[in-house]
Amino acid sequence: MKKINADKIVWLILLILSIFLVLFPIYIMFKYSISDRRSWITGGEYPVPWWPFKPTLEMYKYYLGDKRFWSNGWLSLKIALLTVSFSLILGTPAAYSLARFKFNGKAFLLFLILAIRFYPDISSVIPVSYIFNKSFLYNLPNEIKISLAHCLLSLPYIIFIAQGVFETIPVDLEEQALILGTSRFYAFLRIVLPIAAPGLAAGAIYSFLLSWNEFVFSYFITATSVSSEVPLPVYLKTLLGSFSPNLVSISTLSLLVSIPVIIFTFIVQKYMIAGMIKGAVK
Amino acid sequence: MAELKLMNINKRYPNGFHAVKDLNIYVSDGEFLSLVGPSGCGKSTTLRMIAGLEDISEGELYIGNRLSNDIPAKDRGIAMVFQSYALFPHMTVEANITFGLKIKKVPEKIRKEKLNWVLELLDLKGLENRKPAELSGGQRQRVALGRALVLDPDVLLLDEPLSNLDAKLRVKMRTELKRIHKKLKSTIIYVTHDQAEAMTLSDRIAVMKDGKLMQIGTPSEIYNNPANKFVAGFVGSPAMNFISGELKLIDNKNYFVFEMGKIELPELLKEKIKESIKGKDVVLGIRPEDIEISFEKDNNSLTGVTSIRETLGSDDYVTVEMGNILLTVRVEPEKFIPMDEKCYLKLKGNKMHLFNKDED
Repeated sequence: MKKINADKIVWLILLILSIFLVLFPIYIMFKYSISDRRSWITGGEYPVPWWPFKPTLEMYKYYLGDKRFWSNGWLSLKIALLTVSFSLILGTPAAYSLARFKFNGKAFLLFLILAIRFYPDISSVIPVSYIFNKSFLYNLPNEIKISLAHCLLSLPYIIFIAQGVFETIPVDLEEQALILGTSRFYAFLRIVLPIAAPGLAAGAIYSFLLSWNEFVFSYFITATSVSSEVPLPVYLKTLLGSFSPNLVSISTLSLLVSIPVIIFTFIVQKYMIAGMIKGAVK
Repeated sequence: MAELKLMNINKRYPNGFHAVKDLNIYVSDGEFLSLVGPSGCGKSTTLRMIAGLEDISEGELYIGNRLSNDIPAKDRGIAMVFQSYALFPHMTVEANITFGLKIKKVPEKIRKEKLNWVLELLDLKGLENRKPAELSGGQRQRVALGRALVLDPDVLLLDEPLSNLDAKLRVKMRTELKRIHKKLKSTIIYVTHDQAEAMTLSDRIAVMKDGKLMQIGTPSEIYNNPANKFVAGFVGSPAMNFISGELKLIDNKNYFVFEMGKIELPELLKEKIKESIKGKDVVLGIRPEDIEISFEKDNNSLTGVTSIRETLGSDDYVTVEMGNILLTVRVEPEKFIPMDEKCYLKLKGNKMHLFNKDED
């Protein structure tokens, strides 16, 4: 038998502990989502059980048959994908310039890019909702308005992540491409981007999550909108206190909301192959 | 294939650093020229200016007969191999090698032919579908070379292409490069800080220091007639011995006089003595192989004490102390030399060099 050393046991315990910490709230949510009425309204007569007396998929059936859920979900998905696209399209060239070109005031610029994140979202929502409600932008469809607002939050991260990624890619590769006959743009497209893809994928996952779960901006922008469709987090909020049995309802919806995130992450993770740059130099 | 002309080339960076100063070099068609010098001497900057990766601040660059200062890198008819190889990691060997041909829209049939030719030439057959990460250092190096060669460049630029290889592979690739040059007769500019590489590979060598060209000539010219103390010390291993002293005229004969003795200078150096050095402090230079060691007193020899013997296999080197001055002397491997013994050194008259002390 292999020798078991104390080190390994400590690591194992820590690993189990952290998995437990992450999964426990999900377990609670899941438990409530499949609870029958007697399992969560106890009236103090008996403790809430660790597993429902009579598990039921009632709420899942309800939501999967609910038109509002699907239309709001579709809106959320559009917003998240648009946010990812906008922030990559805007952020990648910005990050590339920051990584490759020397110019004055670079540090200050980086500082400014982060500026929106200096405040809690609940403070920055004031100018943001002002911009989207009081200007010509008001007439844009909700998914565009909200995804643009989400870009404000995700761009700083995308730019920082992508800049770091570009800096790890040797300039030699681009110079070689230039000598071999490409334009600077083509070299960026064919050489730099594919190599940067894993890093950019991490940024994409991050902005997808950020947008998908974002509440404050979405709430204030949709509040003045004529459309009744709202992103899922806002929808979730409208259910608080307006629906009974609400604990079960919210747990179910929350779990349903997480499914696209898991799917998106799995798709994008394919690109996150480590060691992409290996073999390029030396 | 083409000739290359650098006329009064200067490179000044925006921060004021003057990296290359009034460089004049003519490289004839099919010539293998090495740019050597210590790091920071401007050799890589020069190469990058030829490649079109750096702007030329002043001067004119002709590739073929075309003034090329403002021609973009891709239209200069050059190809370059970087020190880092700069292989595209997400592409196969084949895609790497044919990348430039694809960009130039060469038809697929010709692309295939060239690919096969280069795979054959560089012994890369069977590796077409590998990614760079799956190659050894030597293979990567050859892929990088292949990617440049398929373009049939007028001028091939090599920036320390062997410096990332281990010693054994480096010597092998050196021979390989020489073979390829002989076969293709391409004009090659080769940047290296390794003087041995430059000596073995080149038709001519340009030695640079602090952005200035110190000397340009064939390896034997550079080795046997170094223009100054810097070149003399840079080329050759082990390095040339230097002794500081002054010139004196005694009984109508020229003598080199230093703290540990004096030595009569041969007629051969007469012109040089007259020219510039007379009356100034000078440095006498002599290569390790141009000193004979003996234990019997001789006229016009120096006295020292043997101290260390180093064996390199084909040659042995003995360090001889003369006070604070250490001289390296080559001896035959078989020859017995007692250590810590008084000895006499005879310098080969026709191999002595005199340098101005103040200039490099």
